[in-house]
Amino acid sequence: MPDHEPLTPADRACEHSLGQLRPRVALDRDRLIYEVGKVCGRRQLQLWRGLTAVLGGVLLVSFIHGPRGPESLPAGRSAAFAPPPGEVLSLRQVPQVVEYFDAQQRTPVRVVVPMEIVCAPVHSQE
Amino acid sequence: MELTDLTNLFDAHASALTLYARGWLGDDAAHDVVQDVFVRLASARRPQNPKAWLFCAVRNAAISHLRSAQRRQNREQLVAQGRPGWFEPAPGAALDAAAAQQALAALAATPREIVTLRLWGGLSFAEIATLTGAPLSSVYDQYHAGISRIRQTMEASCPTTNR
Repeated sequence: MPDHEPLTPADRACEHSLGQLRPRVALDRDRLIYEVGKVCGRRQLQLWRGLTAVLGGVLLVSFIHGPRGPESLPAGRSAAFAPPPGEVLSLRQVPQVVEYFDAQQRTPVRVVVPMEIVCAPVHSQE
Repeated sequence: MELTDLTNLFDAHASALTLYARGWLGDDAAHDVVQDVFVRLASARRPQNPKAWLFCAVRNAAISHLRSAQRRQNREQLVAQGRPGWFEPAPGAALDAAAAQQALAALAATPREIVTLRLWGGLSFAEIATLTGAPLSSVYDQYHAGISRIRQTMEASCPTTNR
């Protein structure tokens, strides 16, 4: 500070003595650390809450607009083999349940056929 | 900011910052302001000059707090509520802590702020000029006048005046 007069020796000594006084600290360092932790924890909590809300929203949208499962397909048709009147089924003609998926009509089909004609074409009933 | 960094800054500057805040506020409010500033610093990026940042933040917070407090009661009442004991009483010290507090409190606001920043905050005159927005020459003049005024007030306590 070349343009200004320096402090007088008396002021300089007083300045030195004043500088040796230590300001009192009434603040608690542990309390400060606790407060800092609280603020950081609050921020993390908000982050997790936000993340949970976003994931919940995504889940809800996927429920509403997501692809449908096979259980939502039209109800399946079933067909039953009936022996001609007057005929009795032999043991080799025990009815058996066969299930397949009709790709053209996109429906599962269940038919009951005698074992002997499993591979024969079956007339299906609604 | 790292916690160790923060605690180091706290150890180095908390007392001076509290003294600085007491220039405007009572004890409890000064503590709250300083603590809030450290909490803010913890969640902020480390400033280039943390010491200057801390004093600037405390200054702004203290003035803001004072303005809101003035709506309820005037500053004199607030200061009167402040408990004594700005300095640690030291038996072997050249100056009496209570007398120094009285002399400092008797200063006008601007020289008191500058003396506090310089003596206990350890800021340079240039940093004080930046912080207060006053010209450098004015800062020095105010500091000079403040020290002289304190010496005159404490004439009985200052060792140099007893010679």
